[in-house]
Amino acid sequence: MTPAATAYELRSADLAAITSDVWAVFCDVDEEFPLLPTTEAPADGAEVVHASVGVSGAWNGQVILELTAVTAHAATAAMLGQQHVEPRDMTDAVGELVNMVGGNIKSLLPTPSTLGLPVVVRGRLLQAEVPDAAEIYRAELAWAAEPLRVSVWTSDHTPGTNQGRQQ
Amino acid sequence: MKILIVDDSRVMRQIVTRTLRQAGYSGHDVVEAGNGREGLDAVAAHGPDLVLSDWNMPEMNGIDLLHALRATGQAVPFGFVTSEGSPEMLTRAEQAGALFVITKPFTPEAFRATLDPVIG
Repeated sequence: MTPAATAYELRSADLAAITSDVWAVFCDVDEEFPLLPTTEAPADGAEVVHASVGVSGAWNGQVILELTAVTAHAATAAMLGQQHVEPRDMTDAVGELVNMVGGNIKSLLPTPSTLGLPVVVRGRLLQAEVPDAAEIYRAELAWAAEPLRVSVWTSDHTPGTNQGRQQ
Repeated sequence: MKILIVDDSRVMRQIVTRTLRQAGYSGHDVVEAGNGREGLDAVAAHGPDLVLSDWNMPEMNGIDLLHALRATGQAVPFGFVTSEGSPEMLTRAEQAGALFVITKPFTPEAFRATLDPVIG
């Protein structure tokens, strides 16, 4: 049992499982384009969409979803059921994706706590970094050869509960 | 039947509407609101037969919307469609008078299993 596992129910594998569930239901994941583990990083100069949602209360931290703009567009199109995607639709859809992933992750964290509202930003090769927080879990996935990353960060620094990232 | 969908995400309101159709609930009137405050106004304006509400929204969240409705004697059937399904939230929802909680991501099958006794 890992140190983190002694503190709450969340496991590293849950990140990939929860994200896969969300993608399977809302993003038309199929046998041709499954969501798979990867070690690939976005290509240099790739446009990336970065979404985060905070949890505060008995556990404090952030759940972060990073995906390429290509993936964000494909996910939004699948969620809307149409190919035409406005920028605001992409912001809305990616916010909902991190909200669902974060909400389900929150269910495995200590209670009571509150889920915040999602924040979505877009840029080039964003690398998530939460000030005064430690990244404790990360899942690197790929969908149709495009990488996406889910990570969990906490600003709680109780010894023996959350230090050291697990993948 | 008139169904009010309250969610701050336009994409999610569209998904909920589509899932209602996929679950076999076609032909119902659907009205939308973007947060709890708008939901409160929409209940007064449209008199829906069922409210499907997100929990986590700006302005007024879903549980405050439900409390506000019940405080004014409004007894419209109310259920949550939310990304959180912790036992603590299920208890809060039930105590406030919600009929059910559907957790995102949801399927048409989940909608049918939950909504059949309500929509019929």
